Amino acid sequence: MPITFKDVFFTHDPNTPLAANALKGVNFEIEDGSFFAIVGKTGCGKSTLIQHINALLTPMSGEIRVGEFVNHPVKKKRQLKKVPELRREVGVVFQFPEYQLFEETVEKDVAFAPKNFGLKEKEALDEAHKALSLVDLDESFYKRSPFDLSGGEKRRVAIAGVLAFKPKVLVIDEPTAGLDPVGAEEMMSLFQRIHDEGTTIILVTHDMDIVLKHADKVAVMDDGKCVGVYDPKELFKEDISSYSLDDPLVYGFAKRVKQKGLDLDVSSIKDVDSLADAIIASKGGIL
Amino acid sequence: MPTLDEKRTILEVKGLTYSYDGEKNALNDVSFAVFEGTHTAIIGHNGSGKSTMAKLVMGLLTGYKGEIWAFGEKLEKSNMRSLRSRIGIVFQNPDNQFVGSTVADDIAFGLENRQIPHDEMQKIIEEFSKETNMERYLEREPSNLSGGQKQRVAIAGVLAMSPDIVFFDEATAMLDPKGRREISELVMRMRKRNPKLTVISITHDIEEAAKSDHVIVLEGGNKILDGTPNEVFSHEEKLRECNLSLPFFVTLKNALKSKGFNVPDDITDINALEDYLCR
Repeated sequence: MPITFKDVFFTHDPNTPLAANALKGVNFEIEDGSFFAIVGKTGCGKSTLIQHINALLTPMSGEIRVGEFVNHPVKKKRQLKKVPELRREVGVVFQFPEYQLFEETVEKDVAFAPKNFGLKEKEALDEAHKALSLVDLDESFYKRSPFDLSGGEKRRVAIAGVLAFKPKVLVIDEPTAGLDPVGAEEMMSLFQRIHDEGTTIILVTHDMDIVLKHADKVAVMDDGKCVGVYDPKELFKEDISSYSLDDPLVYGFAKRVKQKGLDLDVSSIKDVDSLADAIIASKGGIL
Repeated sequence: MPTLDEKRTILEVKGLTYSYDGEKNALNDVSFAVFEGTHTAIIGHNGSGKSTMAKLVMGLLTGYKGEIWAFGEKLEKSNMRSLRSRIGIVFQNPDNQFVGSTVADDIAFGLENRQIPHDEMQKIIEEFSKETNMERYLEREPSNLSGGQKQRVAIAGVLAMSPDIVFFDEATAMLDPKGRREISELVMRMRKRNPKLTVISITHDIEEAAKSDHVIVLEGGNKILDGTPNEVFSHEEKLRECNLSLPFFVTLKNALKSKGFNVPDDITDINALEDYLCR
């Protein structure tokens, strides 16, 4: 399902002294099946933006198209048509989703959404079990209380709860925040797998190494506007510090050695392995 | 730089064992020393026992086996208050540590508890809000600040108490890269200003650990490694078993090596590697 933002404006608490313009004319398009990253400093409007994708917010002006669905300015949200259908297709995993767990057991928590969407108890549990195996939680977890699990396990349960209704588009906000490095890597390979099976992924992150490694397109947000959609490698060639973005570690290193005089071809660099290849090539291969 | 064991021990735990449920040990006979004026990073994956360790040392959990020594004294019920008053803590969640309705009130909270005279208090607030670059925000409400700014206020409040040891309990885990950078620059400034200040950070950030003086690795409640970053990060197998990744510098050095491009052993940090490659 392609997603299009067209001249989207949004103001928090309009007509009050607290009014804050969060989106000031956002335009971009997300192709069906892509792994799309959204980056930008805290407060640039990323989180407000993603809440428009499944119509948790409606714009003040402009429109957002998600497949057939159109999110546009309305007086009352129930005037929007087909919101439940939209929310079956677009799953959103918010930041620190583990705070949203509420059921007695892991399987009940994960089965909540499929049941809500009309599946019978048994079918919903089947879907829940499938989703739990996707996030590497086996049947020993089914009957446990989600509150007795570790932080990383809780987060995986929360993500399974979204995967259980098989959304075609998965929106994830900072899924690796607060995880240890290996936990973060496992989390990202899970989303890569889900993407490779055909789901469109929209990822909000501060981690540019993740963007470089996983995303095929990246939108840069700055002060409520989308300043551009790039191929990640093209973006990181530029000076991105004015958007308060960090270079990925591999690119930062490549840029510094280049500045110090090493003739390095940065175009193929994606991770540490390809960086090592580029360095060796610039040194004329192995002697 | 003097080696670690030439420095004065400021905090030491001996045979520390703790269990939440009386069955499984969250910490298992852990001993280590922290040296004055150093930055020590305690790392380990989620559930390794590092937060339990921090809570014990900070006196937030009791009923442990073993000994905790701080400033040359054994921690007991009778001296807990006086020893603890020399240790400051910055917690993970910036929203969970505010009591004041303005930034200035918040920095003042600890000082008021110590009954510092008003004039003196004003001076201290001014000094540490400047130190943390928060002097323009003194009348603001803490809840309207960014994550990095909130943590800087928390740090100002801790520094105002002139502690000898500052504990950072995953204090940057919830911040964006800019907030994280602000905090790490601030920690550097603090240590430059007061070379005797000891910083202990419980962290997931391997790059931060790589820049520290002393790294302690916990796994399943046991101490696995203890030494300088260079020593600790040379034990790749063990770190992998503990589900920890290696710093960027070590990963790159290894990738080069595995492709047949050897980097000499005396290249021990990222700057040296850059210079070596550009020679």
